[in-house]
Amino acid sequence: MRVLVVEDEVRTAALLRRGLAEEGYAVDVAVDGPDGVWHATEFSYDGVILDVLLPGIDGFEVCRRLRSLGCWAPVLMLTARVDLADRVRGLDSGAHDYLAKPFSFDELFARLKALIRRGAAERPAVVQVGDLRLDPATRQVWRILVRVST
Amino acid sequence: MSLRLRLSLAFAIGTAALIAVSGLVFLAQLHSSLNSAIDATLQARSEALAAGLRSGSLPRAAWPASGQLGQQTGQHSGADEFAQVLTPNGKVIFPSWADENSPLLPVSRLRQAEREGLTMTAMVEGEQVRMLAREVHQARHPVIVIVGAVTSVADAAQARARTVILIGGPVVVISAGLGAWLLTGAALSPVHQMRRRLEEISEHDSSARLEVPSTGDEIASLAATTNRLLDRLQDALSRQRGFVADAGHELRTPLTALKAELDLAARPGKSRDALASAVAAAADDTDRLIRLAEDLLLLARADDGTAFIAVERTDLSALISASARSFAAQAGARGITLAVNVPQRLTAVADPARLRQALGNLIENAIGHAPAGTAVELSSDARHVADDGCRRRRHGVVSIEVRDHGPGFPVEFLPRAFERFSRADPARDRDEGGAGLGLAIVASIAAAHGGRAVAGNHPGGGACVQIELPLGD
Repeated sequence: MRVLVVEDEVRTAALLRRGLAEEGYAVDVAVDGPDGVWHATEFSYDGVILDVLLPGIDGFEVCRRLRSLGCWAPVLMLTARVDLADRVRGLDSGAHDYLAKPFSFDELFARLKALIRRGAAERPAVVQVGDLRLDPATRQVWRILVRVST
Repeated sequence: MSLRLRLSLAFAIGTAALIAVSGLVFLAQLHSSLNSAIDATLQARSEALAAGLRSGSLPRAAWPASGQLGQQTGQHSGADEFAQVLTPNGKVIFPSWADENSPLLPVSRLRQAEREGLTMTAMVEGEQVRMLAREVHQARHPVIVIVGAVTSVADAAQARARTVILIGGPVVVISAGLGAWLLTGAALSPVHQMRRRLEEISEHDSSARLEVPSTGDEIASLAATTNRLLDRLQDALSRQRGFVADAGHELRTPLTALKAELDLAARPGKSRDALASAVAAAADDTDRLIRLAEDLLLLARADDGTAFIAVERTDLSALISASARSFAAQAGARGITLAVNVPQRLTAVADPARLRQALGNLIENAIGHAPAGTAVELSSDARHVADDGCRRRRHGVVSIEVRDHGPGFPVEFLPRAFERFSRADPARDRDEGGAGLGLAIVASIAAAHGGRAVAGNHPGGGACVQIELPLGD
C-alpha cells in the first residue's frame, strides 16, 4: 500500500511518515500543493493524505486539480481548519474524508484503511459528458463553459 | 419622560411664563395710564375751582356736569364727578352731594393735603373714587379743595383686559404645547426610524448600514457618523476573528505534532532509544506551545490596554550589552558574531524586562537570517526630533537598532512585517518555531512605551529593525 502525504509542516510530515511506515505503508511526502499534484499524477497511490493550508495552492485546489487531471486516488483531508464550512468545502472539492488536527493515529489509520478498501473509482465531483458539465454539489450545469442553469 | 414630551412641556411652560409676565406688565401699564388720565382731568378741575375761589366766584365749568353745586342727590350713579371745599378742620363749606356735612377726607388726610397736596384712590359709599385734594387761600383763609371722579369706567376696562388674558392665555399655552408636540414628533420621526433600523442590525448581519438621507441635515450626519462607527466595529471584529482563527491554527500545529509523537510512542514495540527521542521531541513541542501561549497572552494583554509594562529609568547601554551576551553562545554556534556599538550611560524610561524581550526577538531573527561569518550589529543613539513639524517643541527619541547582513526582508513583506502571524518565509520560519508573532510583539512593546518599531532593509544590505522609544527627559 502506497500513500502520499502532502504536508508543508516538516515535523508533522515526518511524524506522519514515521507512523504510516510503522503501520506498513510506503510513504511519499510532498511539501506543497504543486509538488503534491505532480506526485499524485506522476505515480500511483492507494491514498492521499492532504493538508488544507499549504503554501502556493491550498488543499481544496489541489483536490480539484487532481480530479480534473483524472487522478481518482482516495483523498483524506487533514487540517487545522475545523469550521463546518471548511469541512463541507473539502468534501465538495472531491475529498473522500476529512480529519481535524490534532488527530489520533488510530483514527487516521482506521479512516485510511476504509478509504483504501473502497478503492480508487471515478467519482467525479463534476460530471462531464461531451460539452455538458454538471456539478451535483452546487446544482450547476454548464455547456461549453457557459452556465445554463442553476 | 420622552424628549418629545419634555420639549412640548418646556415650550408650554415657557409660553405660559411669557404670557403671564407680558399680561402683568400690560395690566400695570393700563392701570397707570388710566389713572394719569383721570389725574390730569382732576388737576384741571382743581385749578379751575381754585381760581374761582380766589377770585370769589365759582365758574360753572369747575363743577360737575350736572352743574349746580349742592343739588346733587345721594344717587350719584349718573354723576361720576364731585367736588368739596372744606376748612382745614374738616368743616364742609361746599358739599358736593347728599350728605352735606360729612367731609370726604378725615382731618389727618386734610392736614396732609394742606402741607403737600394729595392724590389718592379711596372707597366712598361703595364706589371706588379717585380724589385730588389741595390747599387754596380764599380771602386769606386757607381752605381745602377736593375734586374727585368715580373710576368705574377705567375699572371696567381693566377688568375686561384681565378677563381676556385669563381666558385667552391658557388657550394660547395649550395651542403652543400641542404645536410643539406635533413639530417635535415630525422632527424626531427620522430618529425613531434610525433607532428601529439599528435595532434590526444584529451582530451576524455586520454589513448592514443605516440609510443616509439626502437632506444634508443633522439626521444625515448622525446616520453617516453611525455608519462610520459600524465600519470601524466591523473592522475590529473581523481583525479579532482573524486573530482567533490564526491563533487557533498556530496552537493546533504544535499540538498536532505533540499528540502524533505521543500516539506513536504509545504503540507497542518501541525501543528505549525511540521512546527517549519521542520524549525529547514532545518536550520541544511543549516548549513551543509554552512560548506561543506566552506570546499570545502578551499580545492579548497589550490589546487589552491594561498597563502591561512597568517602567523605570533603565540603563540602555547595560541592557543591550546584557542581551548580546545572552545570545552570544547561540550566535557563536552558527558562526555569527554580535557587535555592540552603544554610547555609555544611555538611559530611558522603559520596562527593562519587556525591552529585553523585544530586543531578544530581534536578535533571534537576525541570527536566524545572517549568513555564517557575518556580524549582527546592535547600536543605539539618542537624538531630538521636531514634534509634528513644530520647531520649538522637540522631544528626545532613543532608537535601538538591530541589523544583520543577510538577504534582508522581502520587499512585499515589509508593509505587514509587524502584523500578527505574518511570516517573511512561511515554510522556513515555522520549522524554526516562529509563529509570526516576534515582530508583532516588538511593535506592541514599543507602542506600550509610547514609541514605535520600524523595519526596513539597510542600504548596505541586510535587514534592519529599529525600536524607537521616547527618551523621557
